[in-house]
Amino acid sequence: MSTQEIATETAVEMITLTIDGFEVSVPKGTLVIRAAEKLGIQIPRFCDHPLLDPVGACRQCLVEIEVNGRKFPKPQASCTIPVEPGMIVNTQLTSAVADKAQQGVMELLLINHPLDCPVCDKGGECPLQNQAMSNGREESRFEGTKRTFEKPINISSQVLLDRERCILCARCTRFSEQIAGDPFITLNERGALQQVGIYEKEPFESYFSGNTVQICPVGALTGASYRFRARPFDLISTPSACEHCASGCDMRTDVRRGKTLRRLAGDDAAVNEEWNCDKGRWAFKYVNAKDRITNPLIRDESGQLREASWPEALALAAKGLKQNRSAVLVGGRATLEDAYGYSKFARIALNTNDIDFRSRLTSKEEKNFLASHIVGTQVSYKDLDRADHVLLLGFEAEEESPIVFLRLYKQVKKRELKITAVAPFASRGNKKLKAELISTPAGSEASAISKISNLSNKSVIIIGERLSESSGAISAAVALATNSGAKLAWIPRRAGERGALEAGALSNLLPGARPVSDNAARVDLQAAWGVSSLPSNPGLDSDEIVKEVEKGNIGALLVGGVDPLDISPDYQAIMEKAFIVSLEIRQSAVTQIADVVLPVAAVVEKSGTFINWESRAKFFEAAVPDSLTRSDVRILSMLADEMGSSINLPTVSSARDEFNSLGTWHNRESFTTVSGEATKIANGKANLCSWRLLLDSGSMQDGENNLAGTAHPSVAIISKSRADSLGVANGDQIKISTPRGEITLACQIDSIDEDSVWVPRNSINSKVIESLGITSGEVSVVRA
Amino acid sequence: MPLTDSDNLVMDSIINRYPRSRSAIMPLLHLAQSKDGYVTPESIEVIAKKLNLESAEVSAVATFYTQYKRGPVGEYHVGVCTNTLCAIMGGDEIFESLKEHLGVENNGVTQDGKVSIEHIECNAACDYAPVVMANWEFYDNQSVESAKDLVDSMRQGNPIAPTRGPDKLPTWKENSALLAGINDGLANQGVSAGKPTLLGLKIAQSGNKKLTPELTKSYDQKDSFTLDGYRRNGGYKAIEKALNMSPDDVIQAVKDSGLRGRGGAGFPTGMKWGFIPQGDNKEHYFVVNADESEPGTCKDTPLMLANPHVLIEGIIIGSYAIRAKHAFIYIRGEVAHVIRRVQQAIEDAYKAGLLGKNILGKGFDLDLVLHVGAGAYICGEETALLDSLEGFRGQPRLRPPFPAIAGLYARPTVVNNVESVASVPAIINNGAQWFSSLGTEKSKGFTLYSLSGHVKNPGQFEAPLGITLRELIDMAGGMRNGNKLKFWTPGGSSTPIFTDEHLDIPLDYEGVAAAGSMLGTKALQIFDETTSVVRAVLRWTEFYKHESCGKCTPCREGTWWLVQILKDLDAGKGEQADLEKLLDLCDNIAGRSFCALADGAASPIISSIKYFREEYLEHLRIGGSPFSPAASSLLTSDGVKV
Repeated sequence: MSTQEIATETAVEMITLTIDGFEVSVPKGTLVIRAAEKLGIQIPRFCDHPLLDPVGACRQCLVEIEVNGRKFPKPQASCTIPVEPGMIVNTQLTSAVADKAQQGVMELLLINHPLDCPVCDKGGECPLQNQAMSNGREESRFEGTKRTFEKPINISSQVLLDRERCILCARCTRFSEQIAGDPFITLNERGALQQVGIYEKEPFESYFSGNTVQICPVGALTGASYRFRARPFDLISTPSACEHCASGCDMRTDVRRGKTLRRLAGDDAAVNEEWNCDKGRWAFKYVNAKDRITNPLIRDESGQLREASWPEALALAAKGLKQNRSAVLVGGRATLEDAYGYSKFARIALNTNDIDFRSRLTSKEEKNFLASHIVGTQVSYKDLDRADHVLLLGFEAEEESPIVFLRLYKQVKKRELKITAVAPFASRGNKKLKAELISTPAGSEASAISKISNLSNKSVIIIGERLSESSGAISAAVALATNSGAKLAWIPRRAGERGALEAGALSNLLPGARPVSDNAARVDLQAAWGVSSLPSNPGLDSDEIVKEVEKGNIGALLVGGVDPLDISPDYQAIMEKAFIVSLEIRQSAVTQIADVVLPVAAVVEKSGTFINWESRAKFFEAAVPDSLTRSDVRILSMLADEMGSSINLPTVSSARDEFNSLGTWHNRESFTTVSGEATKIANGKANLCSWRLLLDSGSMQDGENNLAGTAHPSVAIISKSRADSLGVANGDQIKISTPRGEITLACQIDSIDEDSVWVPRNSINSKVIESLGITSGEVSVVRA
Repeated sequence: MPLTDSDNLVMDSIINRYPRSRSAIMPLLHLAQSKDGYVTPESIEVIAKKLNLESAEVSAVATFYTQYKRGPVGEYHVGVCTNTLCAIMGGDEIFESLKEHLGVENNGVTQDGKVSIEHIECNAACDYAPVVMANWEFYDNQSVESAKDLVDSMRQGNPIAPTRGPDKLPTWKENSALLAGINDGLANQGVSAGKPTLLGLKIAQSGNKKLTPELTKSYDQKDSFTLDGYRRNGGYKAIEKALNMSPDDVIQAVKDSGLRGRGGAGFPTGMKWGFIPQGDNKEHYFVVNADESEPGTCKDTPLMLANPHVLIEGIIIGSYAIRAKHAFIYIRGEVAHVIRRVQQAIEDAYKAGLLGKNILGKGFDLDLVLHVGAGAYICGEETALLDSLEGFRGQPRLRPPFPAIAGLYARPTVVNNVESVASVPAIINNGAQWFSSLGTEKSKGFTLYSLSGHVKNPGQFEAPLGITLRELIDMAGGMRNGNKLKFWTPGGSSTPIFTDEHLDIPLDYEGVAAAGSMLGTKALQIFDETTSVVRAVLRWTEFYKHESCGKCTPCREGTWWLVQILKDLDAGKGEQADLEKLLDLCDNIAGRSFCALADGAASPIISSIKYFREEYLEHLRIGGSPFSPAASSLLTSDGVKV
């Protein structure tokens, strides 16, 4: 915390009380159970959770309390009582009454609890086991009949429920309702038959359902993918950072014999508190997919890829890159160190600024914006916590950054934080946020944004990566920020994009926010890198690079984790013209056309840093430390050496140290406003809009069918009037087409802008770019 | 339920009764039952959509309450009370014989779909035991024969009429619509009160000075429940007086009267009203707890049946005093005719300008909504009641915050018992002094004592606080057959039992507390020497287990275990150490739970072992019960009728 922050925090009133004879001072409002923890006194508990509202349901945390000389006649639930000055608390350590009461509750909890420990996933890391040992009787006096249920039952494809094990602490139902806003699980029945349940036809398909598995204090909720797989003592746990989106979640990766068996949300109060999303939790099986590449590959004379040794592959790659004008496509999933490697490699080994990390639809306006307003700046979750108004532009919180969604939802629930969204319709996430919708068809965002005038300097404008697809929209947002004083936050979808931006993997930026066009900045970097010159002309963006490949002007490409289908269905064919060096973990559309494939480490196999949308860096060690694969930066360093232009980054930590030593430049590129034009749709046509759902056909979700089972169904959203004119009802099939191709989906009628039709961008039966060739714009819609 | 346009209109009108739409869940579920006979998955989805909730949230509520059925019931759904008092008086025999007669088990439906049967908990008619309900209409003083005749008549399509209800027994679906709040116009049918309800009044009218009929004074009039009848007896004069006082003066009058809450806790009513912060610019709510379900308690139900307007008048005065514009009566759902009477009385009060806008031209607006419960004893706990009224599962809330600060919809709220509120008009009419001159030093005023069980004439007695059981039994004609009093509850099953040692204890709050129990709801359940204590306690414990909301461990798991132990003890299985185990369990349950339901569950066990330990041991010695159920039943040849 900076001095500035400390100074602006309001003074917190401290209260002193005595627990088991020890004095402790804690902020006003602290619960007794938390105050005890500060002294290292663990009062047993189940329903209590620091991030959930107290309920006092399980009664395990009973203690004796005296206030103002008067003792409470009955022991109290310490998880529901805020401290008072001079309060005297006696826990099980100093009060026989409290100890007996706790033992009594524990005995009662165990009477209906099945003796499942030998077959229960939670065994070995189970709060019920642990606290039964520390605060329970040695033997139970129960000789009766336990209540039984059919077990387990699927409450979704990825979460299993064993009702017998459930101790009705209601952490899961409270989390789902209070934190996620998804009350798909509720308590049903009454008395001893009370049980957690779903409504049968509506499984627990919340993006945050995995958190209930983590906070369940017994083995009642288990993940289908982990069930029966391991015991805690098999696992080696490593703190890690999530490699999926840009939220920046802290994670814990549990590995056994080199294979990730599960991931848990880590504890970072400033970022994800103790939550993560289901994708971050369960989408890790791609690392061990069957098409994993473990050896270098080169394309032989017959046009087939064959295994090669590293020296052979590196030599061939170096030759191809040296012989041609080369460009670099980094992809959005590189760690900071790897992105820095690509950035330095492009400038030193390839002598070019033709580098872009954006493996998606982009614009010059966006590039300009990133270099002028985003790189080197910080906006934080705390700014969201304190904002008076948050504006969402080209950004779907629940789909694109679930933790940002949770953060916003928390404030909406707590103090009715005002959220406004510019979007064609109100998504479920935005409805949960009670967002005011400015209904805007794709392409008309600029005009809609320019009409907004109720922001203040405590507001936050969130710009998603999709805003780049609408010309003029980013400019309108920048103008709005300038006029209102609101903060500008940019939230891309991928974990590596912000780091790549800071590392200068962009045609107009050098590492550390140094504009390519700024002579002094270039000179400064030259000095740091010990080179006499650096390419001074701003380079080409990814779409321009591919165009030059098509024209034959660029003959070689160095490609990281990129899927051409994220941009255009024609790209793979065009890129094939070039000599391609692909750094990949699995077979892909790029390896299919590559000349040299160099295998790289998956995130779990390397150490590195991810920088999230806040610009917060999170370093992680390799969770699988003895993997034989190597991080991109190390391979690039070898490649540069092979090419005779060393970049001298033989290790991940050297890359990080060097990047950190560069510091952040003080000057920025200036921003040039671009004006927008609303999309014109011909009569009888519709305006397509799309975005990616959190759970879709993304390749990093491969191999995890249980997770895929909870993805939202692919539907096309249309307005009632369009449905009427097509003669379709909810659920009927409609066909959306362009000259290039078509998509057929069930329709869903909702309040969507009249001209628009929305489809998921990359879901089952809905591969928009591949099938239609566009992501927005004119399409035909007919009844199928 | 496939929705027609008129269905939508009805649903909307139900939703519009409440400040927040979620509160409409319960009446909408009753409405669903009125269409399909039970709560179907489709109706859950329809209600969820209407209220903008997830289906899981609606099914969470639907599965909490006993009255919402998961499968079809008969055209006539028969409930036989088998809570302790009715069971002992003959309910058990009636239930067994009906099951056999109909050829179904508990919750079963006859082949022809005409009759279904379930055993139910205390239905607030203990002075009419054994009680049978049909589609939630009263069938008092039943016997095995009369119950068989009843179900036979149902199967023949010409059911015998209720004893205190409309002229013709409505069907299950018809009464479900009534529970949803749709007035069927039958409120004027049926008696005001039955013989037991009139017992105390008759005795007072014949000159007994110990009794002070005030609330009950008009019960013997055929139209006591109508607006005209109420007016004729001096009704709706108090609101004229009250609305001419300042609200704070009204509160002061109630404080000065010494009126204490009649729902069991005995908290000073005026003080509770005074806790509502004034000038806070927030909505205030006045809520009446009419969920009378404590076993043995049967005073509020006959009051609302015979004299609903005195309650309404009290509500108007109370709402005025605390500056509330919205009042609710939360009434249990198992008393159809009472609901009818109260609903009609509210409508008549609106028509007469006594509710609604600008009451009596004094610029005071008040809306009164009758909210019908669905079968959950725990909803008589004030915070569980509020959660239930808001449309959630009826589980108690954390306090603080207390309802006076954050109650209904998190707004300042007063929750009062029916009798407490009904006592207010008399206090305003006659003055606080008049009220406080009755009763004892700390327990002022008069109250309704409900005497049921093995007395010759069970019934309602309105007397100043402090009267003794000896006096009351005397008025009731003594014990039946001259039998000896063995044990009794002063305030319902949740209060520790007393024996014949306690005949002369003044029945006020302090007197009963000093003797080791609680006055509670003055539900005097009297059991003579033929009664098995263990059987009585077992049945009460089964009641608590059935009604446990499930929120907290001690009550939820504790009652599950207590029942098993008591079952064994009743059957003579076990040893002396099991009694100690039982008591130790009670020690770990009472005072450790979230609310007082668990304390109520432990009370009968602890107090019965205190006074009748030998009897428990006798069960163990002989390997069974030394008592025969027939001896304590009203229905055997030893009893009054068969």
